[in-house]
Amino acid sequence: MKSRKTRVIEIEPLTRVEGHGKVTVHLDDEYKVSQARLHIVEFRGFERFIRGRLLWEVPVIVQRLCGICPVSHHIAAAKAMDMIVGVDQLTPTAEKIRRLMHYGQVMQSNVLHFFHLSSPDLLFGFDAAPQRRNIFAVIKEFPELARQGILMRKYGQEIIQHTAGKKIHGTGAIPGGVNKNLPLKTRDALLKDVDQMLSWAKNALEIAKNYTLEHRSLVETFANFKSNYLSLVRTDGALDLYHGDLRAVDAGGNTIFDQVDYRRFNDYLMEEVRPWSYMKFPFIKSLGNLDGWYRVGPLARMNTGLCFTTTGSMKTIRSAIAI
Amino acid sequence: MSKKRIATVSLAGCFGCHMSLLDIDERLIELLQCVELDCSPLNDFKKFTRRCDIGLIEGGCCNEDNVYVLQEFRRNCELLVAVGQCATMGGLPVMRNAIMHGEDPLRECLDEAYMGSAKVLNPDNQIPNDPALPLLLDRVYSCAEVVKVDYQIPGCPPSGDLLWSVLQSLLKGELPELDWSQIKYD
Repeated sequence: MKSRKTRVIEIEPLTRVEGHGKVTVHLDDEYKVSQARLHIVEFRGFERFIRGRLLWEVPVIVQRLCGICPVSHHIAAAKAMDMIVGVDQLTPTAEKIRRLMHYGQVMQSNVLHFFHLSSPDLLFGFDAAPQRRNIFAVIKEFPELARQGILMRKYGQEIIQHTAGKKIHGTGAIPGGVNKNLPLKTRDALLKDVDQMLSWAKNALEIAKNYTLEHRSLVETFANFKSNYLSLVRTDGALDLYHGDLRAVDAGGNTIFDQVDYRRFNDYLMEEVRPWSYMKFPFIKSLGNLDGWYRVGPLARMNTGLCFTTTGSMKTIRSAIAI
Repeated sequence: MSKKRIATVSLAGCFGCHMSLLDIDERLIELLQCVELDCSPLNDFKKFTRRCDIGLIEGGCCNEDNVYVLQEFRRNCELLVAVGQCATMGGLPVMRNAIMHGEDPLRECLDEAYMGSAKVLNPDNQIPNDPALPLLLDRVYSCAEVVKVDYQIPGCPPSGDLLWSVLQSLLKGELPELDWSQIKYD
């Protein structure tokens, strides 16, 4: 008699990702995949930790959620504390410093993802031997490219250091503003390297573009799925990496909601608890827990933003969409 | 000289210490000339391929898997190094070891995250409990409370520069005494 027991394949730990997770693939009697699950296996309890603490502590506590994107949590908490201390308008300097801090964060985290974690897959292929699938093999086989990635991440980290005080887990954003400025000398030192960074970033974009063109059939089918998208956008609908209102679109690009004050996110979003992950499952209330899940992050920002305001970005996006 | 073998892991940590290790920047290229990386979140080795000279541990122990992995590292590494606040003293997650006026702090943390709120959909009122999830320990432990640790580097995280200077000494077989200015409990 055939066993009714499902077979489970475990992939553990997940590596070259940002966080603690494992994947289980559940097979049915015919050895077909019935479920694939991403389990977030870490639970700490920040929701409770911050209750009853001094309010200036909150931005430095919650950033310890993640050592890769600490600035995002640091600033989100600082914004919440702004409201508590009654500051609805930062000084122009404070806003610029916080913005710069987060731009540094977005830069180092995206570089980390592209060069340090993902580039082995693009350069050597998914099926390369495990010994090669890491940044150290990239350093050996593509030393110049690896050097660019390392220096771009360094640049983002240095921006964070100068605005937050430390490269990881700084203290720069405080309730109502920031606790340090950016001396002109430091600003000029950072500006000196901007053109180099931009040219390397364009080079990286070219790598991604060529990879996509050369592996079109793989890219079109592998991990390609429809979803809703959510991000912050500016009042005029432009992409923004620091501040804005919530905009959600469906897989066809149709608006689900737009220009929602982020302080009212609870009215539009909810989280579901499922027994097999410590991570909760957020969803858009109006679509329900099964259909309301959405993607966030760089891809979502590309899909929700109506326009992009930095030099050359609109052209770049158009050429990406054309591909 | 043959290359030293290093393994790294993040237990109940935030990956900040691993990021700080990457903050040695160009010196990564130099490191590669005297070091080979065994299992680590930075590559695709899920298990030890052979015995290692140095094991770098980020994070303390908050669940059963953390304990198994830490013991595995102890068995497979000549020198075990606790890197950062969480590994040396439990770090921020130890906030759940004691909550003021709380009888059962871990329960309070779980309740706050998963139960009884209009913001959370949890019809069965359950806390995640699937066998695929590691069981949480009664409290958060530092590495030295679980296994013998040979060397500790404080800091949240220790800076890339500090990690670099310590690593260079460890690779020469020395256990460096940290200057007071390098010891930061932030």
